[in-house]
Amino acid sequence: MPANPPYVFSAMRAYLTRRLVHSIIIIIGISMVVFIISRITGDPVSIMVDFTTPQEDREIIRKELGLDKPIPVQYLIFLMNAAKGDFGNSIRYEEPALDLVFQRIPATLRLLVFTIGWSLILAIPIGIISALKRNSLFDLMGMAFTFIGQSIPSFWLGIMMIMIVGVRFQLLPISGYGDGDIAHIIMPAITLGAFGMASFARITRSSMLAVLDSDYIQTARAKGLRETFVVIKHALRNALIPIVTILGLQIAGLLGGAVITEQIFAYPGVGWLAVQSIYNRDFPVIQAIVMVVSIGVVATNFLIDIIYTLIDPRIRYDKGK
Amino acid sequence: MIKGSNVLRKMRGNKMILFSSIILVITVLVGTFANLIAPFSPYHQELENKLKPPLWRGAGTRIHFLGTDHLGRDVLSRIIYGVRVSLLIGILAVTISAIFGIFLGLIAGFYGGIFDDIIMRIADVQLAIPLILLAIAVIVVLGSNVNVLILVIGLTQWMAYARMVRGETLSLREKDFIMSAYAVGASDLRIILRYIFPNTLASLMVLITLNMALVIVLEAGLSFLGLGIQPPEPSLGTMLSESKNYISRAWWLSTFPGLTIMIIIMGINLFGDGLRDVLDPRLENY
Amino acid sequence: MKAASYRNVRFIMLGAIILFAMAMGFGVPIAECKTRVVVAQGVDPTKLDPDMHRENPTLNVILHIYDALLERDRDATIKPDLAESWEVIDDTTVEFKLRKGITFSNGEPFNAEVVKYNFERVAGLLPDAKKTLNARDYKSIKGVNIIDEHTVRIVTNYPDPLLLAYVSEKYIVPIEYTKKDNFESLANKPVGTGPYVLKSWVKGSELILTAKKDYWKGAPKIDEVVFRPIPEDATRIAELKVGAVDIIANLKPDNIQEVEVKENLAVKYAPSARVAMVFMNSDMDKLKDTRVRQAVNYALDVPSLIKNVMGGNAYRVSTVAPKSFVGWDHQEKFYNYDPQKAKKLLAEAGYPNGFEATILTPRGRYLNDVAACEAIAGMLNAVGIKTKVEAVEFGVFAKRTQAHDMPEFMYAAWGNSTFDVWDTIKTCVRSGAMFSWYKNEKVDENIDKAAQTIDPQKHSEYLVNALREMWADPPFGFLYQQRDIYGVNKRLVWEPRSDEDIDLYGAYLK
Repeated sequence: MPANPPYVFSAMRAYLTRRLVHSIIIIIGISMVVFIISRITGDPVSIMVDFTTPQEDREIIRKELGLDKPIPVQYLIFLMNAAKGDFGNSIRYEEPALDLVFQRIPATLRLLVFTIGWSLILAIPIGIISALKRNSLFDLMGMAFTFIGQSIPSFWLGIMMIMIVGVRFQLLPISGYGDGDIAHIIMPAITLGAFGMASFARITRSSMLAVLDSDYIQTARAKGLRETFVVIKHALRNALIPIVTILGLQIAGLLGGAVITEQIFAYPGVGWLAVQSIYNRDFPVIQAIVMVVSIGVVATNFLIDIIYTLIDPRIRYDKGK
Repeated sequence: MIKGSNVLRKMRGNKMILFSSIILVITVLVGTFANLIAPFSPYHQELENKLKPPLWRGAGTRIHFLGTDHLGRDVLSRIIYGVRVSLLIGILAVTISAIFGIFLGLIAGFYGGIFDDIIMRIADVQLAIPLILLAIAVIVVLGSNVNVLILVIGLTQWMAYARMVRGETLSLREKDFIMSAYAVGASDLRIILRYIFPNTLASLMVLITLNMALVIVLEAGLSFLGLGIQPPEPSLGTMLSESKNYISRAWWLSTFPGLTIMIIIMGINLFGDGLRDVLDPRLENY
Repeated sequence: MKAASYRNVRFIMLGAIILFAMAMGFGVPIAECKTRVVVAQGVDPTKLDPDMHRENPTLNVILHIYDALLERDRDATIKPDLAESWEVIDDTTVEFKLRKGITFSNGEPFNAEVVKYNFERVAGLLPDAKKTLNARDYKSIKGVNIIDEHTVRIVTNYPDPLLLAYVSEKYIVPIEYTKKDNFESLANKPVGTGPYVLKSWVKGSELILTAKKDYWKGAPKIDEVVFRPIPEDATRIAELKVGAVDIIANLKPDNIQEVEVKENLAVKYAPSARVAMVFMNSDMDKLKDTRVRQAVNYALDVPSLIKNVMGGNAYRVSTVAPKSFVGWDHQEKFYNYDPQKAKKLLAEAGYPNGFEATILTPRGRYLNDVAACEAIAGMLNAVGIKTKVEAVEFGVFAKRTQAHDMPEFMYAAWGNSTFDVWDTIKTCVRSGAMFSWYKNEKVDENIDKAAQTIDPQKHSEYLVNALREMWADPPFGFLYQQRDIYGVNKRLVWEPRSDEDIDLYGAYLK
């Protein structure tokens, strides 16, 4: 890579600084949303106690949880404690909410890494070949395949896989985490990744097509460079940019999808904990999950900004995307 | 800028659009005339006749072409009505989010500055929170009926529109023809409505179709978690989620609604792709 | 065009596929322990402090770790457990002789001091202990007197006919261990006298209990009991089919067949203590009239519901409790399905064209709840009561009903672990009670009298009177007693109980 002139670096630094400030503002915004949601989702006390617990007992519990203070005060307390990593104890498990979330994060991270991994490994070659062999049989099949991938509701795919791969042929364990072995991740990862894989393949194909038709590739070919070299070195690198963009946008979507996937496969990740906590009105856990997950998303996007500047030093630093 | 007749000619020539249009027209017709087409009421129960297989796999006492569900209701009729409900949710939710998003996007892009900052940061905040978590939280509070569902989905989808419209507006704002409109003293509102908004339409069309597909899938996902359309109201997602316990016993309960969703989504996506080819807007970043 | 590049890419893809296939070959579990039983439940247990939970899935773990003074055997008779015997001294005093030489899993002794401490905790008599979630069951307790190291007397403020029932539900915890951090550790690291101890608990994944070889009733025959939470029914059944799970509860009637056909699996049944009812909101004008509520009962084709929705897995009852309960009325009379009569009664009450209504139900809390409500709505529609189903997630259901916010109808399968009708009707029927939308003075009078009558004969009599009055002036649409359905791997010898408890002490592998 040719050395960049120094002014590019300083522009890059300014750009990244601005993105960092944005990220912090976003995180504060998230904290407000999180707080508001958990306050409007209703009374956590009613779910903790039996049907027949009298009113005065509920008041005791309410006081204990600090639910009797005015709302703005509750928010400030929440924010200060959240900064310290203290979201309170889970109402259901009586354990620090953040601990509970962190216990579940490795499982979800593994799932995400595997999901993104397999979908890219499959999608990029499909996209490239389809673009290179435009309108061939492969292209047609590949695109049909991705269209199907985009239109299957993921939970249906998941249950079908359990029935066929898990029960009928007994190739893979059906649910749970096992010892964190790969076998337990395969089916959830396929379920979660089908949609994204299809999107990635289609985007790779269309951006490859755009790049292949562009002048400089034509020039490179004219210069007599080997075709493989042209494809890998020039076309693919440029085609990667939209993929990275979409990846950033899809992280939140994937985490959302993990809610359903983890539920189906009883996979002990954050998504399942989220559903369970919402059903149980377990405020502290809901707050911790949304905060942690959203910060994760914001951080990933920040990381992607950095990757951008690495892939494409010509990126415009002045205006945000 | 795009010339209308030119686009129409291109669309007619595009096989993807032709094929998907047929699917979509049929879908819309089925949804619109559900009450005329469906052989039974979607609520009509025949408990004695439950879980009967489709006609060609042996039959019950009455003619249920695609079989019956766990309460002896006609699967075909429920799918037909389900198409109506799913389309309704798709169209209304997309309308809400598009209106909301376009409005905010125009303001952010046109006025810039503090408006831009605030609107875009709100969008960023919402984009960072997995929307299914947000949707679940709201639905659990407000209860789940069609209106809440449409509102929730609508309000979690506006960001894509806002971002796209803003981007287009930003680049349009600097164009010569806008400058000259200013020069002759056109008002902001006129410029937005007359010059800027029409020029975002091409991208919007594509985004709307693709978003529609996403919304229908989202409804199905929420139904799976028990937060979608309430029984006995049929929606494709609810039917699919109700069928999950019968997959090994009554395959037709999940297969047909599942195929219906797939065909509709595929139709919409193909249409969107075709539009993209024809209109050629730059959408990758939204 | 460019065959060379194509071949190259194909190599990359091939490599990816091979890698993937290799990954699939790895890590298929081989942890086949001979005496290990896996139970799959819908949720993870909450806290293993026996006085601080309110869920059956949690209780199922707790009952393996702790013992109570008394226990119920399979036919619900109360029997000695940690207490060797008991004696009713007078209307407000019961004496328990405690078993000797029993220790907790941390070595602490079990004695009269422990019993006093335990009951004082739940009765709210310990100075700085948190209020427990089962406190209301023990509010009649005035104090516990230690007679000697192995004899205690529980004294109540008034005659409490249900005291022994509640004593049999009170699992005993140690003193020193809980005192040192005010019950903090107990929730996650339980210590009891029971047949199993907690080995490990990865929340959301699995909880493992190991057998206590020196358990005072004899070592359990199963070395390890594993509880796994699996929220989806379809997934639970799939795991049962492949043998990864040995017991699943709440099998749906429509899934029985697919489990039965598997050679390695059996379906087991137990009559449940839960009785499903349609609660009616007689605070509303349209349901004030007795005739309207009778009409609802005539409109319900209960046999058809049982046959078609519950797959035959329910027993029709004409009241709020199953046959085996104290206070049950043996002169059973049913409202026979008669839609014409229902319409006539509605017309007489001033609703010739019926009315609009909603039936509220939790989703997935009770056996086939939503399907039952859809069918019930269909039946009510047929007599002119145009009914919509509102199925909500259980948290919402709990919240709304506790706030007394109920539409015309509500579907609930009421559980009652005391095996005494009184416990149900004092909360669901007595006017002013939390889940009562009903007012009938005769019924109230009988409920109140039964509450303080310890003589079993008379106690029952009052209850029967109340039930008869409730039959004539129905607060509910009477439906059925549920039957619990379990899917079980045949290698396991185990029988379900009617109190929904999954107790594996005594079970063994073939």
